[in-house]
Amino acid sequence: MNAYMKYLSNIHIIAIGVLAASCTDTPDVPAGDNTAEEAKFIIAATVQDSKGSSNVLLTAESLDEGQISAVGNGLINDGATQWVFHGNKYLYALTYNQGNAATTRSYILGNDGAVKARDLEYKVSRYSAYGINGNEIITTSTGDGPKSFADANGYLPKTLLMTHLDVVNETSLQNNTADGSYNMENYLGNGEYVTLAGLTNSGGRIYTGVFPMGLSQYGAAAEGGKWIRPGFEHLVATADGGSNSSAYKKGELQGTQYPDECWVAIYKDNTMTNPILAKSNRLSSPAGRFKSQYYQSVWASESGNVYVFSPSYSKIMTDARQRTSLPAAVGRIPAGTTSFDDYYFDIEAAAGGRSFMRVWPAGGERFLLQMYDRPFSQSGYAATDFAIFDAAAKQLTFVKNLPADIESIGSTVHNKTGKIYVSISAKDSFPAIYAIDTATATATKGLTVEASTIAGFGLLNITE
Amino acid sequence: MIQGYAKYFFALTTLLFSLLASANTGVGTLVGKVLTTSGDAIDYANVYLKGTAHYTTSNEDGKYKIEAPAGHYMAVYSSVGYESREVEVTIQSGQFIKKVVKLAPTTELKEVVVTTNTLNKVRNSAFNATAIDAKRWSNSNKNLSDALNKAPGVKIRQSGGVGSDMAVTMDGFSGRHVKVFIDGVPQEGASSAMGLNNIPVGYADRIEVYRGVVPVKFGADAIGGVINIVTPRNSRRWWLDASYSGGSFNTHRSNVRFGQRFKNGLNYELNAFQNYSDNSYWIDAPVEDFNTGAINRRKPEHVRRFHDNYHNEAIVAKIGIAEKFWADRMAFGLSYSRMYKEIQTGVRQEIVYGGKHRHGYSFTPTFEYSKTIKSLSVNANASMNINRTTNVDTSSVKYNWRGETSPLNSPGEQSYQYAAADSRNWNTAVIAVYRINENQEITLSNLHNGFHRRNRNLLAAQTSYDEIAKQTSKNISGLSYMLRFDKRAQVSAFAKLYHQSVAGPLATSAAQDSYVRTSHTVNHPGYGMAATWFAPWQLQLKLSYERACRLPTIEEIFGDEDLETGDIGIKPETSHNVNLNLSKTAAWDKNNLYVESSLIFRDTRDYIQRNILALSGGKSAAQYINYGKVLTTGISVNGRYSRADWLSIGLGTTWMNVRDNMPTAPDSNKPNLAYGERMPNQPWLFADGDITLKYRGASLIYEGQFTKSFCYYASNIGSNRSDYMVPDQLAHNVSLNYAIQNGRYNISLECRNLTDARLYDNFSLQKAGRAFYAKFRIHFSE
Repeated sequence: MNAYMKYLSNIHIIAIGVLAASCTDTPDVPAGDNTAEEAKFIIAATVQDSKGSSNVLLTAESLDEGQISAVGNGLINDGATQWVFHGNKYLYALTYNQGNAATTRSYILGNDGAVKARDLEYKVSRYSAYGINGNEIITTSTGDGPKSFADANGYLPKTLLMTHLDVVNETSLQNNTADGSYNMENYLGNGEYVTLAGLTNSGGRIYTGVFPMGLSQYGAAAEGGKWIRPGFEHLVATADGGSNSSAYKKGELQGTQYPDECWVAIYKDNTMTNPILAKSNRLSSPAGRFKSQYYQSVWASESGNVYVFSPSYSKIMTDARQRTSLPAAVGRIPAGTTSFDDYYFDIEAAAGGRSFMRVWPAGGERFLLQMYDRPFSQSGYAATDFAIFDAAAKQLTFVKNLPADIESIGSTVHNKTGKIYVSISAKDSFPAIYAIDTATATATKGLTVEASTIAGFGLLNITE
Repeated sequence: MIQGYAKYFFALTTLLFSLLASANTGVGTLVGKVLTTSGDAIDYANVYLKGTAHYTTSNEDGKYKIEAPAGHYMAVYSSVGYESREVEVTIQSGQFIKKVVKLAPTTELKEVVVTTNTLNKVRNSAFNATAIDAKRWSNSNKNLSDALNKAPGVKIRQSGGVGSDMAVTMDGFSGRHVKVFIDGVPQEGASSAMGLNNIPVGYADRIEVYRGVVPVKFGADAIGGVINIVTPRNSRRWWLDASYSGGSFNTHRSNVRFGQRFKNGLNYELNAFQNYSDNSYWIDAPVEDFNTGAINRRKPEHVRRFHDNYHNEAIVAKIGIAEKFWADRMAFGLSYSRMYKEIQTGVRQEIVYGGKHRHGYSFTPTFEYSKTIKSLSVNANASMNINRTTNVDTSSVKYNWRGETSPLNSPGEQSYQYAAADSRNWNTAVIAVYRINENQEITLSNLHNGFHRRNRNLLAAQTSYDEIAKQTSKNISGLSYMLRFDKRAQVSAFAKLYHQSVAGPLATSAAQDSYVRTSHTVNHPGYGMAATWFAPWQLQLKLSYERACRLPTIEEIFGDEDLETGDIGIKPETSHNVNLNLSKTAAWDKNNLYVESSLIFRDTRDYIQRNILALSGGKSAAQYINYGKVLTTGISVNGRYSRADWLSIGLGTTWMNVRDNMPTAPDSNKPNLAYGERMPNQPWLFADGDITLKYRGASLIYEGQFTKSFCYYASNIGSNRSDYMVPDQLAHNVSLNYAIQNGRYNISLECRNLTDARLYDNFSLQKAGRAFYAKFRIHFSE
């Protein structure tokens, strides 16, 4: 057993019902309240100027009202690729070491009510998804495995790459891929490699949406090309192109050959080895997508049911064989089980043919969906709408009272009993936090932030 | 499209030639050379026929030519720093009269005077231009960028030691806004082994800097200005210059120049140089603890750079022919350069690498041609740059500042790659100058630049290539008219036409699963003027203006094929650039003084910048947009005083007020919070000074540089700006030279960063502490 495994085995894995920083249910603490536990809302804002941008962490007493400004105010920082709140105690500026990025830093709320950067920083490698498990923020991505596993062509098998950020002990450790236990090639038995889209926790298990990526150079070349489906040969790339996660190399087959399947992996602990696989033939792949960006769409509800949302994004694939015939829909893995039951809800049928880009838990059995404004069959679609999905009642309700000129929607949400907060940038006004009443699906404008965009927001308690 | 331009260009050229053919009769020609008493050519010397408007200047070889009606004249030869001479001449119809004139320096201090003289040539033009004498530093360890740092308005920012990344900032512009030329040939796409920071100062004769307003002969979309490296044109029979220097951090540099000129006009020159350094200097940085994966910001350790080796080697050969009836000068050149560079850190010092490196090579054939036929001078040059840069990041372990290693879960310290970029870059330029008469001149120029890049992936056993290459083709035509009023004033007006077409891959679907080759064309006009007045009391006043532009790059038009979205409709960045200069020269007894001040104004708009879109899930996407206005006002003052042959003092200071001038946010009515604020991450107050003391062959040189602290982020945002300040910097260098046999043998000792100050040009990236170098140089010529 290597040091890394020892380290993992020492971690007490906490099972919590509702997961991820973005959906922690915490009551507002009124300003001037004399309770020992004081808290502040933290808003990570970005200000764009004529040549670039600056990032600042602002504090506010309430999300429901008021206005704060980045001018002469707040803690300047290097920004983040993702702001992650952990249990109202820690704020992580997840930044991967790519291009011009800096280190990953973490912040707490000092007893003077000001945000403070902790002393330790981390070099975090590229990730495509993250989740919270106990004391850890886990980042995952699928990338090249160790060079010792190269095939005769020099191709490396795709492997799960993880970083475990322990927020209490302030450590950052990578998984040990040297023994091959994190191989992501032929993950589903069809030869394709996969990427994991976010983590959610139910009953002590980690559930993650599995997004099949097609055949890597390694997978396509394996056993004389046995994983290339008849009729799909022309999709094998003959040269290199693209960039970042949509980059392709000669010999690769980009995009799945099985668009009408939905897979969820269920792991027993944070070592994330030997998953149980759950499959549904009524859904397509379970992840929202924007270009090469994948969004988590497998979430546990408060009661521990795991709802699996599929936006059927592969409808937009260029080649007809890679398009799914299934509509955007929801399936379910009931609490305590490891397979889909017969729960089914057709989102497109309820939304006039529209799909969604992102989904977040919104308390109870409710979810917030960031909806596209028109079906994929039309051009120029943008995800600028919201809907509340009541999974228990099987009801999808579009959110009323949103601003008309939405430019962009922020990447974090915050939950409070009966409400979910989102950040919205409108064209001609400063970005603001909106509270959405999950029962009535009505939005109310709250805190306005004098900045260009809100990159993240959440609640921190004073910890020192 | 390009064919269209070529047609238009050739039509005008033909017109000029036909003008020539109708040259009048009854006219004779005075030709000759202007030389120093020691036989060196004096370029830009004034030659005129007294009492007439017949006027010319000598060329770089000291040659001149005046056409005038037959008659008896008094020819006056003058040049700054030399005694004027008057020579009687008789010009006969249809005949060539030859006069070689030698001018004596105004004082006995040849070297000082020659320096002043060279510098004044470019300064005397109507442009906001400076020439830095590179010869002055030939015994020092400097490279071209160190010398360039002395130009007013210019700040060089380097990320580390020898071979490290360098950026030129000129009047608040940097990067793609400032273009570099060597002998008028654009260096776009050239290998980094031929970068300004990697070429020894001895490679150049002088460095010309044109700020904001650029003469048409440099066809470049340089919104900030251009830098032109001028290599020496030796008029001697043969010459040899060789030097070696060594010093701290295992640094070795050498440079050899050898050339010969034959009576039949044939000449050749070889120039080879090399730099090598481990850059193993000490810095203070926090260290990653591999047991916890944490880097403690509060506990920096004094550590030594261990993976920063750089070396480059270059050889430039030229063979030419001069003074033939079909060419005044024609030369072929071939250069080969290569480099190897280890990458020690990311953009922040906390990110350490121990295996990542880069190597590359380049071949550059060149061709130059010039010919003057009566009043028409034609200059043409062509060059092709074939280069390959290979990036290697295949390490299976990571490193920390102590040099310890720990296994990585995936190979590659930053991003697993072993890839080569093959690029081809070709340039052609044709510049024709037609002198209508003594006081009027037309310049027509056409410059073409083509760029083609293809990447190859070397990770697998079988090399694979990019499906769709990226190509850029630029054509810039210029027309300029110059009018001289007597000798006292000169005004020119010019217009430029920029044309660019790009081609590259563009995704056809949001699923990013299909790419096609797409091309796009941009056309843009530009114009400007420059005027100068030689006022009484040896004052010179200049005013220049240009509406300059910078064309969008292929990435800005097409994006990066993934999360960076390009914009086919993106506009060029434009700027109204105005310069006002006042200078004075004075010489009394054994004293020489030159003081120059320039006021600059830049109104820049439509910056092309990455607009970060609010995406989520661990990544952000960006889109290139035209956004931003910046208003720059600035002043720079510089001067040099020298007394006899023992003292020379130079001082220069620049103050820039670069402000955000954009009242609103992109595509919106909401306010821009940084409106009116100083632009971040940009030095805005800096000064440079030097003192040289000489006694016989020995000289002691002190140089000092100061940069005022500046903020990395916007100046009005947040409350902890002090965490992101680049502090005040003060660096002192001292060197001692000893020349034997009138400069044949030279020894110099140099101490850089005398006080061992912590120096940073860029936020967080510390430069070297105190360092010592010794240099030996020999110079022979006949």
